[in-house]
Amino acid sequence: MIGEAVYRKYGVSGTPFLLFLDGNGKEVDWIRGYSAPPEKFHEKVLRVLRGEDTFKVLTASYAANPKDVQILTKLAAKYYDRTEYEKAVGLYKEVIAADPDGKMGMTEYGKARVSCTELVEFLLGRAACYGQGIAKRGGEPLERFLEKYPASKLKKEAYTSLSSFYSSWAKKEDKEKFFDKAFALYPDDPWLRYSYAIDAVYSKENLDRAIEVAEEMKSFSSSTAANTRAQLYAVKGDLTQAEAVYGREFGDSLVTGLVSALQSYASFWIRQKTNLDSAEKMLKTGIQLDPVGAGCRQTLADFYFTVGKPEKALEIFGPEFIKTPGVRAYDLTWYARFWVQKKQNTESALEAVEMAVKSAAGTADIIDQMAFRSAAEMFFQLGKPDRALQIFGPSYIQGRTYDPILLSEYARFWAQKKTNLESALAASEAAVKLKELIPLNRGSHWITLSSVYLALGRLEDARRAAEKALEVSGGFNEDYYKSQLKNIQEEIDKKKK
Amino acid sequence: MKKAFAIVCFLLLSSLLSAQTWLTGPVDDALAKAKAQGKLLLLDFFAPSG
Repeated sequence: MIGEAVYRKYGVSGTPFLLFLDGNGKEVDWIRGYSAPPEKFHEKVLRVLRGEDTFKVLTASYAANPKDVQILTKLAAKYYDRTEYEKAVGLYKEVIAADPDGKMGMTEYGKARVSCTELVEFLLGRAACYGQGIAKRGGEPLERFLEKYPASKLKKEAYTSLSSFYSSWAKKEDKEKFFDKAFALYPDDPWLRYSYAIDAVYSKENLDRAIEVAEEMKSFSSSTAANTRAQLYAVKGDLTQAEAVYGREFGDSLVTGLVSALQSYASFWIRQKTNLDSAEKMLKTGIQLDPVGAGCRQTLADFYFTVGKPEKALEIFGPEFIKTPGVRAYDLTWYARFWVQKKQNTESALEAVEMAVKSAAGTADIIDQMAFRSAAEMFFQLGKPDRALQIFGPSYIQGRTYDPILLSEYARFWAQKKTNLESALAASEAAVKLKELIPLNRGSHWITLSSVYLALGRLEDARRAAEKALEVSGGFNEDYYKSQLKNIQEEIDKKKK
Repeated sequence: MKKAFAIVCFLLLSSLLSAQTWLTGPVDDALAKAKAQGKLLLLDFFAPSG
């Protein structure tokens, strides 16, 4: 027996699948699927070898104790796992017959601990919803389960199973009625919404409500939500709208999000000094996905420095990087900052800063605009304050008085440097007068003004501005503003003495 | 649609995983060996990607 005949003989419906046989070809147990980490999977294999709750052991135990509800429940789960639904359903019924009141044994299902009877009643209802081992598909058995156990720990699972039935098999009015009730009961459950929305893709009914419902899935998975909405728009024949919610921009955002997540992952493990192989591998993956981004390259280069391999840092994040077509101003400044801090490769860092300034000059993008501030910082650190003033001084801010964030960034920078303060004051005063689109930023503009006053030695004005920051903060950053206010008050008190 | 090739590998298992032997060939041969050596037989069903 070889090849597909082996699959047929043992009823293997999918891979990966591990099957354990004894020398007589009898099934001892199996492991369906694979999930990381390998150590946990290995433990599963060892449990089989130790004979813990294997199919073979449970079958023998069942023969010896046919009314033991815990053995019946476990054996039923084994049959269900091998898609032998009729056998599983038969065993569920034996549990109920042996212990109708649920007093003979408890079991666990996920995190819930319930009586074996309660569990199999739920599983029978679920089997009816999915049409598994039960001739008549329907929601009634699970509805009866919910009536019998209104506070069941399996209530949410019951609604999830019912949603699969109602979305695909029930009459339209029953379906709407069920989902009204389910959404009211579990407003944050993404699966219920997914069931409703994805069914509309196939049924082509209630598309507008389905789009709304899919929109609310964002908190669960923006990708699933967008994919579902795009499918619904496609059914409506509106590919323009599908493109708007799930087009090129969305694809790019997936890459950006993944690259950022990979960088966070690697940074975490590098800080822990553990799992470093994986951290390095993920950073390299991030670089492949976004070759012109500085994030993963910088983290990897820094890692190479900490492990004493600076030549590899130069390889991954050296002068070649800034020559890559498409590198943005913002990333160039990250590159420069990195090497300035390392006090190495500074010529290339300087070149990158100049490139960043040149590149950012042609764009109004706020992120690129931040490159000017970073470049100015680099020039200070490289001992070229005049060049900083040249690129990020009064002539820079003159043409950008429309944006409160830029104005405040500018003012904060020069307040810290205690230079160019008159221009910083004008910028900061302009920032607080502008209408800020982001309410949480309002306090930050006032606290910047306070810092400028402080740098100018105008302590009373600084105090008033800090008080204003607190007043408009809406509670956001309140502790920081309070500490600033306290510092200013101390300065005032010191001066009085 | 790309056809996935299903492959079965055999592993003779003693009570310790470190004592293991991978086999190739018909299942019946592997079963005979498992029986003779008093070991379990592990069948690994998998579909390589690519």
